[in-house]
Amino acid sequence: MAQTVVKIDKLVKRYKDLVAVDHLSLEIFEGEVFGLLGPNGSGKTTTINCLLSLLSFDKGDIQIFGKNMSPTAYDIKKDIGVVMQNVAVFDQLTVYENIDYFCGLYIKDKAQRKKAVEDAIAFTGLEDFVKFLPKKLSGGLLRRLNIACGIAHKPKLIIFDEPTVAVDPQSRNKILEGIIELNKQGATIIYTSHYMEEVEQICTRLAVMDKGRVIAQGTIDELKTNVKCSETVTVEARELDEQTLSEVKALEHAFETSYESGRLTVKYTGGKHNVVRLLNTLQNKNIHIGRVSSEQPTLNTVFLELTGKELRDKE
Amino acid sequence: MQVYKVFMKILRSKMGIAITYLAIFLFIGIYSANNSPNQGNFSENSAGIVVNDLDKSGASKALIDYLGKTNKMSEGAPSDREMLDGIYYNPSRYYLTIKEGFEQRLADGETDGILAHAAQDGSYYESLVGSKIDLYLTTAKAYIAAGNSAEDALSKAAEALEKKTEVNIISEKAEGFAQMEGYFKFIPYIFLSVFVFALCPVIMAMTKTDIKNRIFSSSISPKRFLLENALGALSFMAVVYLLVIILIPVFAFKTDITADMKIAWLNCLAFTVFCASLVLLISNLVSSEPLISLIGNIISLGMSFICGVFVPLQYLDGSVKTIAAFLPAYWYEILVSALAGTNGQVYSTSLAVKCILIQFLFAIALFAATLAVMKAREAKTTHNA
Ligand SMILES: Nc1ncnc2c1ncn2[C@@H]1O[C@H](COP(=O)(O)OP(=O)(O)O)[C@@H](O)[C@H]1O
Ligand SMILES: [Mg+2]
Repeated sequence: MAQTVVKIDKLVKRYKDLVAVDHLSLEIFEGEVFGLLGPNGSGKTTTINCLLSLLSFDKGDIQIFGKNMSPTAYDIKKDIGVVMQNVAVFDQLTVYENIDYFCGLYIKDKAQRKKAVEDAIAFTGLEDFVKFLPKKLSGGLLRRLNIACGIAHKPKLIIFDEPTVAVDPQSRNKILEGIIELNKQGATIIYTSHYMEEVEQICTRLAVMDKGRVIAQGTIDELKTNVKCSETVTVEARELDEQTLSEVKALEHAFETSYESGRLTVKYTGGKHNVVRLLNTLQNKNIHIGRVSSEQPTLNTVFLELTGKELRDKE
Repeated sequence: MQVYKVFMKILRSKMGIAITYLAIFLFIGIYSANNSPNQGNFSENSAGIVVNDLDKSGASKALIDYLGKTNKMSEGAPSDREMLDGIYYNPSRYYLTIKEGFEQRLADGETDGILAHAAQDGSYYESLVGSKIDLYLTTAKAYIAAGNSAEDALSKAAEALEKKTEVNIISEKAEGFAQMEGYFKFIPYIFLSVFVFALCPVIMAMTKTDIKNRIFSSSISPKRFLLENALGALSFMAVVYLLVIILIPVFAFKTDITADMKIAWLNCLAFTVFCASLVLLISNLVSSEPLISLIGNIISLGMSFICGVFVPLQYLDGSVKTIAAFLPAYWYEILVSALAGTNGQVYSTSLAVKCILIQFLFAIALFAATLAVMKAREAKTTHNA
């Protein structure tokens, strides 16, 4: 088994009466792209800030690289790269100067740093903007600068806290590809997001958070096989009567049926030919059928089952 | 020195405003320093003397002539009540009574009890006229001892003393520093402005929550971070101090480095330290740059107006002065006036120590306030032990 890079044990963080992180335990291994998925306010950033010792916490243990993390654990911090949720760069410094500053907090040697900064610029595709002030950058470029500042010193563990918020799709893809590339080069990644598609796209393993708790943990496949709902079929069909609906409900593997404004949704716990069987049932009744779709479970399904809420991309 | 380097880089973006302020100040400072000395001092050093001459002798006439050279003279025999009112409403009023037998007793070598006076007790003008008369009579006594008549002795004494410049007689203090008073007076305004407008935004930029979090997740220690920031701020203050307080007076004005000048430097140093504390407090309390301009202006202009930076202290209302005493610029200005011998201030070492000490105390108080603010903040988002 790969080495443990981060181990969080029963972390509790309160803000007065609000429990922002509630007995959270995680183990992250070397070489992983670990996702922390949860809606806004679920405690992702708080967890990251505790992990980095930027916040004090009420209970729990945090180990990184097998050592106890603390505000003064500089030997640990030097191998961590951080890309904060809020862009943290100096408005008065150019793109190059910003990257050089943050890189310089880790790498003292000038020649070595110059190389590292240039690598980071090339990696994030900021070559044409090195002399720009952050104000002049678009949202996507600004995020890329934020990333360049966090990774220039070539850390072993990189934490990305919602790095794609307010970013155009093109920049978003570039950022995600970049993260995978960093992982290929050997970095362990922690990636927080409230976009399930992103997490599905890049994470090897993830924890789903809600209200400060981890409500599910594992690989994406593991999470999906654990859900009750294995398939959701939606059919557009007008004027279904009670009789038909109860026949649909009685179909094998179907466990939940709903019919609203001409859309019939049936959820299945398993089985192979659910769509065919459903369509046959409807056709036998001479019901006119519109569009039909079948969805495999997504992380949203997982989230929905665990919390009763949708995890949708809302900003 | 990564943090220090960036501090200076960001500071560079504030240099435009700093240089503008300094240039305007230097213009005003140099202008007022070049235009004030003689005229200004003459009027400051002249009192309105009302003489009641009961002797009506040649000697009393000589004394009146002598005083008339540097003061506005008038004759009269006011009642006690009138004299009290007079000095109450006019601090530069001096009532002199030349007693009967003045000439005779002076000829006998007697100087005690031959004159009487009424003036604001312990005021600048009381000591100004008093010391002038003392010096005059003492000199005359020497001539009488040498065999001159009282009248001759007095006119010879007047001649002898005239050779000395007016400034010398009045106050030994004034010599080196008086010509620089106009320049040094403006320092509080310019230092408050330049330091607040240039340094506060930089400190704010360096310690913005997001940036600070980012920096403290790196391997730099908070102590080192603080130290390099402090070093950045101090080096800017040191450069401004050196340039404005030492280099320009010494090389542009060619002032002598007298003991007074050194006291003035110390005075400025105390005020600079106060500014440092203020800058620290403001950058901890305020979170937006426009607000910094506003607060900076309120503090620098407000403090300057009520503490006598723009308006001489002597023209300020009593209640304003009472408020001003709770501001360090007031004590700075008191010492500047005392060094120059203006505004009714008389220099003494204890006054200098007091003024400088009070400014340092203000600095310490603000520093303590800043620490309290930081503590209160940290209570919200502390590091764990
Ligand atoms: N400094 C703070 N003081 C009080 N409550 C906070 C503070 N920071 C975050 N919270 C609360 O803690 C919860 C978790 O926030 P956060 O960790 O930022 O969530 P996420 O990053 O998942 O969006 C939220 O309910 C938020 O309102
Ligand atoms: Mg967050």
